[in-house]
Amino acid sequence: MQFFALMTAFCAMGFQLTLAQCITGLLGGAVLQYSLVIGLFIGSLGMGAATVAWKNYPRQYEILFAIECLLSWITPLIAIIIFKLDAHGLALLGATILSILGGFLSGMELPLLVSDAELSVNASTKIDETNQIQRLVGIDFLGTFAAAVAGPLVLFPLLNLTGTSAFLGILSAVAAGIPLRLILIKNNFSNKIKSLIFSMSLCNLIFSVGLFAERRSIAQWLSDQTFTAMSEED
Amino acid sequence: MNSSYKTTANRSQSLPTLITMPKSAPTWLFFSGATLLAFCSVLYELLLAKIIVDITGDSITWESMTIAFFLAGMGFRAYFGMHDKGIALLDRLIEAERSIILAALCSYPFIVGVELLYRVYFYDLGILREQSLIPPIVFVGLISQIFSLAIGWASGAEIVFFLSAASPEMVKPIKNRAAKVLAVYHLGAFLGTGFFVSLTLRGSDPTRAILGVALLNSGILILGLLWRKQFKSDSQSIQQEKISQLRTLQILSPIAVLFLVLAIATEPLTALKLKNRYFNQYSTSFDQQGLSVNHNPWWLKSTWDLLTQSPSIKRVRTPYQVIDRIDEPGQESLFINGRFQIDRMTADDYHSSLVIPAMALMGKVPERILILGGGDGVLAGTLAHLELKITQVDLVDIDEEVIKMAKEVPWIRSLNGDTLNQWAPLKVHVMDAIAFLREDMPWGYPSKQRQNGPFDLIYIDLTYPYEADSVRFYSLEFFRMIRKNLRSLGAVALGVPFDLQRSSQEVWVKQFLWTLSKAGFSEMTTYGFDASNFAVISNAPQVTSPLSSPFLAYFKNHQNQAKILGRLQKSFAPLQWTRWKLSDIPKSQADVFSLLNPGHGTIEDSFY
Repeated sequence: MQFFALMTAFCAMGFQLTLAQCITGLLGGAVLQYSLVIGLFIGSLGMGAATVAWKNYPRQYEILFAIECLLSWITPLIAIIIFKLDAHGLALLGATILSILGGFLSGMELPLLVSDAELSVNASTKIDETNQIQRLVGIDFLGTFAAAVAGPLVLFPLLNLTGTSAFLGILSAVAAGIPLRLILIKNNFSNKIKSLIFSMSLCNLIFSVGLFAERRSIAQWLSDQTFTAMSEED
Repeated sequence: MNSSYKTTANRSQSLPTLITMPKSAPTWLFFSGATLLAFCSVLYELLLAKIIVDITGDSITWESMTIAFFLAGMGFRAYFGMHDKGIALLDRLIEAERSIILAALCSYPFIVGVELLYRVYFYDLGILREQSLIPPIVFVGLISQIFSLAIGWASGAEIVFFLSAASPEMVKPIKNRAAKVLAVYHLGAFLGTGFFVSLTLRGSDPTRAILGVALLNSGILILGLLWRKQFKSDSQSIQQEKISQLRTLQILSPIAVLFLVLAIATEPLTALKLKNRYFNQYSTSFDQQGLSVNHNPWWLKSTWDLLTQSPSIKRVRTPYQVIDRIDEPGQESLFINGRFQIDRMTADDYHSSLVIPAMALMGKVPERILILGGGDGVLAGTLAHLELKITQVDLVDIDEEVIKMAKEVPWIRSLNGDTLNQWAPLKVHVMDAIAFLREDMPWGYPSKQRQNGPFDLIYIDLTYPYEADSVRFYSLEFFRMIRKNLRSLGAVALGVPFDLQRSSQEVWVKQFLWTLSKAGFSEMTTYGFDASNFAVISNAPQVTSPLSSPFLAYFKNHQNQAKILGRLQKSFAPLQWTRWKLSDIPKSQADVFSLLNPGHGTIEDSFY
């Protein structure tokens, strides 16, 4: 679970940094755009956490799996969505919606994990509940730290924006495997349902891997589409 | 109350420290405390990032690094947790708050001190110049992260307190408490970020803002101390009470002293920082004017001289940049984000070298001109001075404050010939250059204010690509837009941060050439002298012999004829200029600069 918290936190922060970098490239004002995206992210993390805090979700693994699946579809498309929306002057609106959506979904993850820790405590008083929760929160912050360092220094220069978002999509798809395993342990599904869920997870992974493999040509296509090279005499 | 709460509560009450525990705090107060403390922590961190970016001059890298170190501090503190309970935990929180306030208050003097030492030893004495393993400004940035880490560590203690103390010992039992604590903590952080954005938009000074946040945080700390006092008062002996009062004094007095010192010293510190930067960094330029301070190993004396002898520097913060200005007669200069832009001595030379050779290489007088950047108006002033028959000149600058200065500050007005107020063909557009070029966009500039149709000549007078914001103006996408807005026989002129002919093997230069080639440009002429380098790019053949350009016919018997000829002779002296065939650039040499490929394109500023 700590590994899951680390991966999801890395993906959540990476998602927002990629988003911020996309709109900074298109609209300028790096400090303002980064502050705006990070602010919206934090706000929507709070909303996501509040959703879990004020309502009980007994099937937390299923929700975690659904969140990761959803993120593994949205994340690889960040750069494409923002650059395509920019052609209609809607990049900032798109970034706002994506930031809130990504933050909201990510905000639900940690409280769901923590509620799992709380349930464990109720089941057995030997486990130090507070310590467990503190560790999960700590790991979550360390995951965001790793993304804040890796994003601008490693991922963006090495993979470009389309590659980075696809890479984060792959991580989300892999992370979805952890709650999936727990779901399968907890529930006695038939082989047919198991195959169906596995195929769905595999599709998520293949989708992100495909976009990652084609990152250069996608970047080229986006650049050509958004910024036409033709002069009027051409 | 469920069974687990009962068990924990009974166990806790058996501990001696918890015998005197008062009744628990109301839930709303508990959550308000978490929100306010998160608000303060995030604000400290963002303001600290702004101070560090001011010094390092690279927004994306150092904003990210500061956030990262802050999160690392929080993460490690939360991971290792706190095993205290009850009042001991509250004591930990009080200690953490004291540390966070002290760290925030100490950060600015410390960072200024490190920068001062770095500049003195690196530039003036040259001691570190040969031996440094990493670029010194990176070293300054990394050293400054001690504070991000410290603030993050203390903020981690806050969140651990709220996660742990939200148990029956200190507050009423709360259902789903961890999730609720996380929710309100994020709410506080969100409010902090929103407040920071409003401070940035208003151009507030981050050092002053830190004082304000420290004041709010101290208020919360005092409330915490009062709460703490109430906790123990029932059973404490008079002796213990005195010790407790002494401890309160120990906690609050360093904060009060430091706060007062900083409130008084912030302005002189900032003045010292700016003078130290500008009068050391650009000492060669200032030496010519007899302005640089004569440094010696007794650097404290030099620093004192710097404070007392050099003129004051006016700083204006805008949502986009930091503008520094020296208005002292004979020493007038303008800096943006710590980097030199114009001064009285070199402005005319630089702008004439950008304006005139481009027209000579085109071979004709342009009708429609676009200036991207150049909000100081000096380039427009140089054009106006030539008395050309120009239909319209569009000037696009994102920063209204720069335009305002160009219209109001006397020495800048005299440099630009008051062009921004008086020159009829000039139309000023306050907007982003890429947004202006993208006329196809629905939110693009209203067509009634912008005549459609391409330009004969585009001058790029934007800042050099030292950081992410300005790298956009060296991207493939930007040059494609430029080409789209250029007539087939038109040209683009820009200043470049490299001597292209002498550093053609540099990776940056290769990427720049390949970017231009891929954007569809075929020809480029480069020339340069002193510290300035220029490039004129076009998709049409340029005049072979610029010294006898057909463009000169326009100035026959004109009062500016001698000046123009002199400028061309200086720019196109033998061996001083190079003609490039961009279509011949090998295509597999390097990546292009692209908006989708951030991290490429920035160059190191050797002056910084």
